[in-house]
Amino acid sequence: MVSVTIPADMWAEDMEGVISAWLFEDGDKVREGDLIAEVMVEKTSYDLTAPAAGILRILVAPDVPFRRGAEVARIE
Amino acid sequence: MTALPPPAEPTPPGVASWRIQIEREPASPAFALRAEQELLDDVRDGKLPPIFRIWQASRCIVVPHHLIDLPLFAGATAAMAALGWPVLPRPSGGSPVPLMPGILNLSFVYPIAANTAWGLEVAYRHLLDPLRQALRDFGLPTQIGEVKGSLCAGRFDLAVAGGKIAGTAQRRRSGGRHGSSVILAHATLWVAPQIEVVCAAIASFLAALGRPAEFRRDAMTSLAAELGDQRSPEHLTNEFADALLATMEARRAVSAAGPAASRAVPGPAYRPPSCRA
Repeated sequence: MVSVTIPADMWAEDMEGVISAWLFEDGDKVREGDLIAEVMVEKTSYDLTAPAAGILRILVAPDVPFRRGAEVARIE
Repeated sequence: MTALPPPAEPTPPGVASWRIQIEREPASPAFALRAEQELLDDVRDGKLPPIFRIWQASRCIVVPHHLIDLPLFAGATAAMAALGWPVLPRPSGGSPVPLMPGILNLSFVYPIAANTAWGLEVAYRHLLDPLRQALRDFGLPTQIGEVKGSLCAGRFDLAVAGGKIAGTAQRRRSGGRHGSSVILAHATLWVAPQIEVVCAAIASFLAALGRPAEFRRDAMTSLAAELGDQRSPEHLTNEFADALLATMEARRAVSAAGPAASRAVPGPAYRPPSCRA
């Protein structure tokens, strides 16, 4: 199992972001490097890519705020 | 009197120069947004240098991707298209915003090496720097900060006398060489749009989506409104684009000549005809 976390350096400031859209469904197969979600903070959109191949398990729903370093999904 | 230009915001690390690209004729929205995406990919992949682009699009509403999943999206889109406002998704932040002739778009597209400190705020300030200089040259001082009640309000709105005149957004993509990423920093400046018409269209679209319109017409302004200008929207838009180009060229000249030159650059980068002695 691999955690999908928001990298601590994804944005420099101490702000909260949200998942604006998951691009795969919970339980979908993903490949390493797939763009799996868009993260939004301060009207800035970031890519979130899969760190490994496997089955995506979504932990954080869209529009729920989190800080850098948060675990938002797992890949089994 | 020789006025010194105000100090410019920091330049993105590793960016020595910009390719300046101006598209004066409004493009079809689909073409304009596709071009933006292709620039992002090409700059990320090192096929193109960093780019500063000025462009316009014909009338449309652009929306963030996540709205596509709303159950009423297809119907709302069809209704707006019937009214002459096609709706297009765009992969950057914010809420629905209009594009049309009289609204000038500025895009900086540039790579950032891995582990380089270039935060959101500094990127937004860098984006707004030439806009603020060009507006100063038109006699309009600006402020950065959220304009409450404005369309697509954000912390890096640009305001003139309390009215929002430009909005901003960024998109950051990973996947470049050696772990680098690419930034698209984008601003839309309201040069001379019909503000009532634009606000009504966005309100109609949000109503069709079942969402509240959380903005007020009086929170918005435009260059034409601030100048009380009678020139045609096309004329004023071209004139402001020229002012932006002059600002960028002046920045480039200072940058190429080194720090000492910044003390010798004469006067404002551009003086619109209406301000010339």
